[in-house]
Amino acid sequence: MKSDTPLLEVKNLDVRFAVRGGDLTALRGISFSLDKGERLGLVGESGAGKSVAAFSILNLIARPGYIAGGQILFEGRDLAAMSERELRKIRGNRIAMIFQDPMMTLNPVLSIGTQMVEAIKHIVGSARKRRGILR
Amino acid sequence: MRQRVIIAIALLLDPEIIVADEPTTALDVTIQAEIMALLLDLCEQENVALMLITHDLGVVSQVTQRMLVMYSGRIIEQGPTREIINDAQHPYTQGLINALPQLGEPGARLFQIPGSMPSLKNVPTGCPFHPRCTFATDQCRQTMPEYVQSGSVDVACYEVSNLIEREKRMQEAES
Repeated sequence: MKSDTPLLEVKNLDVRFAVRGGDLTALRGISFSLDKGERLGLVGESGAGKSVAAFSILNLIARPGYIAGGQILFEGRDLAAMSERELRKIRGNRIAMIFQDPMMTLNPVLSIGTQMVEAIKHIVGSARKRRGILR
Repeated sequence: MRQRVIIAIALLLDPEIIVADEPTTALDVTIQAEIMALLLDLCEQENVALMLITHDLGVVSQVTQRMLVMYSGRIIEQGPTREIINDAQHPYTQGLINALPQLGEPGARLFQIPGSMPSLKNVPTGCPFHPRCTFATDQCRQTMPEYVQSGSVDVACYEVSNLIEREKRMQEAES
């Protein structure tokens, strides 16, 4: 059965960067949604805010940037209001990210196998912990 | 090869959404096509949603079903990809599409949108695109336009909303 709520819904998102002399607004009133299995393109010149929009979906905006308003609803839960711990369960596991430059993402000192296992361990480890808490 | 590994790691944990930020920008054109095909196949197979960030309109038109066009931190046009590529409404989107090389006219000078994207430090008042827009009016310089619907596309542009109004009035006059 198809549900009416989209998988991801960004509502009226504002992202600002706090710099000397006041805030710079990087995103203003961004609203869009993404359904299950849907493919959405995001285009614009460099500096339009595409990457900031992508990073904010995972609540990965680093200081001095911050989410100044709006909601990022993933399955109805607001990622903008979630704790780091809760976010870590979603990042990579439920929402994955592929960056522009693979050289930056991979660690040249570790083997590919090690890095793949690391991604799995991260999630399995926390699942074990979850089970531990439930017991 | 490395980007393939990254895609593998991204899909390893069976995510519902993949956010891909310019995944093919650092690659050669031939490899770009391969990587995009791979990503598309995997998303279709696993029914994973894809959010693809790129400045390559060709890739967007081939891979995505819907698209957002951003300018100076705002979404200025969004809707079905096919509709936007075939009949862009916002002057900025039209400019982007006109700037693409055309197969029929080798050697012709490419269209260029005059000026450049404003810095975040001094975003123009009103519609942020107005200093570069050939249709700009006083209204555009003063207030940011609201979204209007044109077909299934949402556009933030006074020129478009005025056009829609005019068409409506003409139709009313006829009937």
